Amino acid sequence: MKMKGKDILISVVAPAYNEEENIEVVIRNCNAVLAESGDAAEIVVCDDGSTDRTPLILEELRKKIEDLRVVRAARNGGYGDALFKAIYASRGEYVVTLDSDGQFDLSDYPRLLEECRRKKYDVVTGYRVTKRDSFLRVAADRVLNLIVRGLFGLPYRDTNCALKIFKGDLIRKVCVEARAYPTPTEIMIRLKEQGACIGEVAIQHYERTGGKSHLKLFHTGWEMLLFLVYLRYKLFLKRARIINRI
Amino acid sequence: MDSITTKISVAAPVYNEEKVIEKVVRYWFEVLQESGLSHEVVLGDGGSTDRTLEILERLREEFPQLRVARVQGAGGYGNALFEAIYKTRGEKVVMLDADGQFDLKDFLPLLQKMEREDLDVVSGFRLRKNDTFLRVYADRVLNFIVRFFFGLDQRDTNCALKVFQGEMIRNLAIEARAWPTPTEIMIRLHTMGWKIGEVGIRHYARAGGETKLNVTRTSLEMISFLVYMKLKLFLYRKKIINSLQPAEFRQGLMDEECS
Repeated sequence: MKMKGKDILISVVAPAYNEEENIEVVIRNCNAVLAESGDAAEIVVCDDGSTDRTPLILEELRKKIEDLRVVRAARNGGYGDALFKAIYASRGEYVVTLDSDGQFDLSDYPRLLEECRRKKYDVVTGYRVTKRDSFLRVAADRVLNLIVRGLFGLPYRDTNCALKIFKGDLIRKVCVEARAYPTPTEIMIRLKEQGACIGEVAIQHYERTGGKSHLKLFHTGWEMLLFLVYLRYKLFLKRARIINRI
Repeated sequence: MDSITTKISVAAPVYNEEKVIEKVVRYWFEVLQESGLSHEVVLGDGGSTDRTLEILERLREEFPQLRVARVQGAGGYGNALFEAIYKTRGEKVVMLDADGQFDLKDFLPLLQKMEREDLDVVSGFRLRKNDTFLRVYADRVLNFIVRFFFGLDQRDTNCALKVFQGEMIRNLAIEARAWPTPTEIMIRLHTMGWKIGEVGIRHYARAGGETKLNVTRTSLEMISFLVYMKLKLFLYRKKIINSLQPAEFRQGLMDEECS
């Protein structure tokens, strides 16, 4: 049964770029988790200009899974743009963000949703208890969280965790600038600045089920740092009333 | 006046200009009528608390081509100016200050240069400045920084008298709240590849009213803002951010087909 936009409780949104090895499993898992939960849900995937078989797989899946919607970026715009294309196309009362490389398990979402509803949060972010990543990457994430805390006063354990739940009407109004990897952190910084109530819940983290990570650690770390400095400077200019908004 | 037939829109910000505004508006309409071009004047009010709005309301009865746009929320020179610019309908938009430091008559050579050389924007540059030495010097330093940071070779980026192609300037989004605006406009247009020209103009002492500028504070604001623009440009070229547009301006550009 096709649902009308206003009846949807949960929109699961994910960007996908050249994920032919993961995408089908991830979406089928999502669909199974959502079906089991009984929540009225939709899955919105943005194909970020993939050059492999991702668009074909998505097209096939769309025929089988009624609640799957696909947004297509004409050309590769980066993680952040793709994520927000999916978010803007979503219709649910709550929006759950996820990566399509299988590093997160959607079955954690009911706990995020429950926390969000019970404590009237606007956002609940997951934090990875044990990270199935190389030592270096875990250390880099630790440093990142320290920097975010120092620069922006965000006291969260894992700002860049991709699994988060948002109130739909709130996240659909957010605009981001980062092209790629800094996006989840940027979202948290912008929402904090708007005065949103933010909670966090521990979640599982898995190794990528397949495909290659598109991240080169030092490069992304450097980009992240530059972006955070930019955003912090922007915040300063806004507070000094030199620019209108961040 | 019909949108298609308006040739010239004059856009200016106003803020507590009760002492000069009537004289200025009357003079502008005199100049515009003399030019023989179809015209309108759009003023953006940055939240005046004196009699400025009252005077403008009265003048509107006399001049039907006068319109007043009011800034919602935080005022500031840039916001008030663009409140006016977005409401213009003319083929060309002339931006100007309402404090009498520039003579509207000077827009004609700017317009001629624009049409003759097929330019997108022509900025005035002040030939002899009726300003304190400190202010003139501050502007020199500013132009040097702008040249050094952005490769924009202009003599007077912060000059408030400029002429634009209407459709183009109405689609520009800016970020500076206040004084850096004229410079921000030029930097943005330069990075977007607009064709830019400049013409020397006269510069007068303020006709009346207090200046709202404190040189030290505005210089610091300006430098902070230029550093921001430079950083933004750098991140854009490194592909860390996707656009030079303000964040909120981009949402409308993101609509994609959804199946």
